[in-house]
Amino acid sequence: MNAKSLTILQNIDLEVNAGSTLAIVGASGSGKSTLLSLIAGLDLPSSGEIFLKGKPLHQMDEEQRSEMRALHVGFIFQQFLLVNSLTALENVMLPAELANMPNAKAKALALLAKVDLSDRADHFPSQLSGGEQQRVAIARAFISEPDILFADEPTGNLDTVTGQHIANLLFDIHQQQGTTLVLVTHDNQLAARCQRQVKMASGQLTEMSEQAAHLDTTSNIVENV
Amino acid sequence: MPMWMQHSFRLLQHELKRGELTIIALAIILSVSSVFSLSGFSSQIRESLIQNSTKFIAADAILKASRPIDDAFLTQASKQNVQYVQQVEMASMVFADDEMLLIQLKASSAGYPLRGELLVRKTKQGQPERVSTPEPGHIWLDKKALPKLALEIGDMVELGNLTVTVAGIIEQLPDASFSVFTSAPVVILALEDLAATELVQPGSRVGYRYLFASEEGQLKSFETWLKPQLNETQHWQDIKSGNSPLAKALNRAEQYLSLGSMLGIILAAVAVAVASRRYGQRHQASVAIFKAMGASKSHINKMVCLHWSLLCLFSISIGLVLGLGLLKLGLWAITDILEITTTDHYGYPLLVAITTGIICATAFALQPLKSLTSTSPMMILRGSDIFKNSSIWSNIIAVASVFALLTLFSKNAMLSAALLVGALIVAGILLLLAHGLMKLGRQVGSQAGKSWHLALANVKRRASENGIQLISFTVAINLLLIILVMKNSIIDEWQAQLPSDAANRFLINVSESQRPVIEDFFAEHDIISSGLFSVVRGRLAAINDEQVKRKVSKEEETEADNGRRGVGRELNLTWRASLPKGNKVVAGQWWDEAATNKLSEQNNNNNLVSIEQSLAERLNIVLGDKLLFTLGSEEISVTVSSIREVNWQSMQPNFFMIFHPAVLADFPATYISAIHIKEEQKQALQQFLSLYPTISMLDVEAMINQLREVIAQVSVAIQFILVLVVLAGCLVLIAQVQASMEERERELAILRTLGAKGRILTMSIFYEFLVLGALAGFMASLAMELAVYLLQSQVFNMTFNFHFSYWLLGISSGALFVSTIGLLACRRLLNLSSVTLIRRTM
Repeated sequence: MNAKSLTILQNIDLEVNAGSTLAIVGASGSGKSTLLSLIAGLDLPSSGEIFLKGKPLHQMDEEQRSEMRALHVGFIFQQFLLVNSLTALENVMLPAELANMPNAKAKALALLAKVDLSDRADHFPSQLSGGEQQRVAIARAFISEPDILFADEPTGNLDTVTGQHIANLLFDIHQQQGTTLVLVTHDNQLAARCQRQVKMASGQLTEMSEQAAHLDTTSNIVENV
Repeated sequence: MPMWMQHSFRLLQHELKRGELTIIALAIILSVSSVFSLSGFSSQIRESLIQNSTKFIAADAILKASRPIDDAFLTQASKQNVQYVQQVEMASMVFADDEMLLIQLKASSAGYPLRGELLVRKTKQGQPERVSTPEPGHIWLDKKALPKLALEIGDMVELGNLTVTVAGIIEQLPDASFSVFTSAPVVILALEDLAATELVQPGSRVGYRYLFASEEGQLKSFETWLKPQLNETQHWQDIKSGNSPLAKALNRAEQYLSLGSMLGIILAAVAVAVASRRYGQRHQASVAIFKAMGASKSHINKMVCLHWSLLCLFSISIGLVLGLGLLKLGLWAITDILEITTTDHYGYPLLVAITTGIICATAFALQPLKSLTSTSPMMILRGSDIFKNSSIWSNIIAVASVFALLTLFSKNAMLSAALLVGALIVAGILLLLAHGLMKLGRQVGSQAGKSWHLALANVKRRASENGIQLISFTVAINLLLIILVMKNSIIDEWQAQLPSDAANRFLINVSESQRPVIEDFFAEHDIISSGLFSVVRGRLAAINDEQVKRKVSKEEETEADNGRRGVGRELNLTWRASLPKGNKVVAGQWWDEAATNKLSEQNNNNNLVSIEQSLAERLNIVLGDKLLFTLGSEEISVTVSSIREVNWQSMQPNFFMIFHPAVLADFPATYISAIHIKEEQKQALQQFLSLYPTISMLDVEAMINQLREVIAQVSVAIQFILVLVVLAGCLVLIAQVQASMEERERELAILRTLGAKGRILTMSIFYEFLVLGALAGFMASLAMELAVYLLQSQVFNMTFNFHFSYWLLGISSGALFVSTIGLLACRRLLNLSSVTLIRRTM
């Protein structure tokens, strides 16, 4: 590292249990999104270890991490991040297809129905409202039945009512599918719906509360990043 | 179907339908269609010009030999369906009663001429009619012979031991000589009669000519078969070989046509380069999402490559169809002016266009695609990813492929190099210059009005994107300027070579005593003349005391074509006080009084000579060398005091050696003059010449008219190519402005939402493009000057001059065109509601 490099995250030790919900809160620029990118296997830490489903993400190359993401990880973003030139249905099908899951279309249609967008299946993202786009993103996130779902400010771009609706959807499906949910948000209300909240400040993590019981199956450990 | 393929097809289908790839596809479509139509157009024109011009050599090609050729050659010609005519040529005398005349005898087998028209008048008052070789026992006699031999049609004349009938008077010979000094009248005789004349004896100076013609392709394969078997006394010639003004005009037109197609290729390359970069940027977000969703690298690679290939395939196909349409339209538009003789042969342009499309799409897409596929999935969180600029290697690959393309299709490495080197050097310097200028603009702009401020801030902020855009604008404007400047200078030169008062008669063999009468005659009838040039025959014997014979004969062996003119035979020498028109001293000084005095102090005499540049180079003669000439029994030694560039294309007597008047003035000389005779002066000239039968007149009017006709056709052709290139260039510019408007959409949406007035936005875009256009125009002019210098000096063999008026044109038209297109595109965007605009950019 040269003199100009910045240490964004340090001394972080975080363990997330399978099926639990976790909220990472913190001010803008505190390092929440960086942390998310690391534990989701989008990026690699300069030092430290990350395990997903017991497998060392930090030792994997881009290709292996892609495979991990395809098999185990779902995403929801503040900017929705749908592929503009694919329809709502095709966007939802995408992760299932990448994971070579059978019946992608049927599943996608079912999920779109669940998020109340059956009649919008053939619309392109630019033809949908913000709330609708985020619902498509939620449907997309759950189609591959991921073990863990990362949501980066999922309601950040939405009005309160729509945000509420989206949050409900998110938690409903989480309950139905038993998906581990990791939320990054600065919406305290949303964070409060999670079993556990941690706070990021200046690259360091502090525990806010612990509501859930330990379920000892899967763990994510991030330390000394 | 594998999933990557499905994704590829799905994306392409939606994107095409939604118009997201329109600009990119348009760039490729445009390049392919312009390359297709340009190369198709130029190859068709080239074929037609050559076809139309073969009449001037009476054949498609000629084999000249000093001895009869092997019969096997002619058997092979018949086998390959190549028509031929055999001719034996020699100088001889024709006798009619007591008169005799030196003539040029052409004994010809049946079928002459294979191309063009031989027009013969068979009765005294009759109209000239189209004929072929005369019957045995008959001859066709050149009309030039009539005044000297008191003859009528039907009279008998003697040719060697044979008596033949003058069956007609030649009014027009298709393959009349372009040379002023071969002025003997032509007599055409049937080849069967030649033996009976007994003119061909051992040691006779006889030339054998074999005229060939065929359908396209057959002659080419015959030529390929024949050429390796030719010895050094046998020379294959077609319309484009040799040094005639016609060959030069055709060759130059051909070079221009290939220049046109090459510029089309470069334009295509630029368009595809910009398009592929844009393609990469545009798909970054999708690739990042695909990756975040777990798409493997190979899935992405295969998906993107297939997507790009399908897009290219789609665009190339449409481009070909469009190009074919353009080509047909172009050919249809010129049918009235230029006879298009070739049938629908689209194989070659098809090959050029497809290869250009594929090579450009591969070479230029390499880096953007690599950059695209290596997009980090992190981009989805960061919101943007840096699009990697091209590495040096990928640039080298791209440039090398364009060079390969250019060389492949022009078969002219020099022309390709001139274009590429011009473009490259300039691109390098320009990039630096552009950054500097944009920085300067920012400083100036901070003191300017609101729109200007926004515009210049944009120019500066987008320095990198604008840099690339600037280069593409520059290249497009540059190519347009090049093609325009070259067109104008070629046409100017042709016009200068053949002005409306170009000499159409040469008077030869004027004696010293006839000089005053001739001069009076010219003055009296207001005849434009080159003035009288003295002609003294002499031989160059030694250079700096070194015998010249060996040196020259060695040259002749190695440079069969270059080495013959002017040496190894007697030269026509002249002396003159003033520098003749169309001559330019390139080294040393012409003898004005001062120079003469100065030199005479050194040499103690006025024994000076001025030598023509190419001959001086060939014989390695420099200023101050001493040349020894033999004139009859006398020897004179002269010092080279100047070297001249001579325009051999000018219709006037031109000389390799011009002596100081003091050297040759006392030698017996004849005089020659080139004059322009108007229709109404013809009668007077005829009467005048009948008083002085020893003066020969060479009528080159028909030849000049033929040349004019070819040049007019060629001019139309190159103007048409100009229009096509300009059209292609403008379309490329439009596509690029559109592309960059797309990039500006988001920003426009934000500013619009923030309440920026439409007028301020429009004006800021207008000014931004005005600055970009003007900068591009300026740099294009700079680049044009360099490229035109290389082209004129190295490829077209023309004299280079500066073209400052075109700089103004480049800058102003660049600024206006680019800013207007920008303005229109911007208006279109601003007419959309803010919501639509914002949605579009999400």
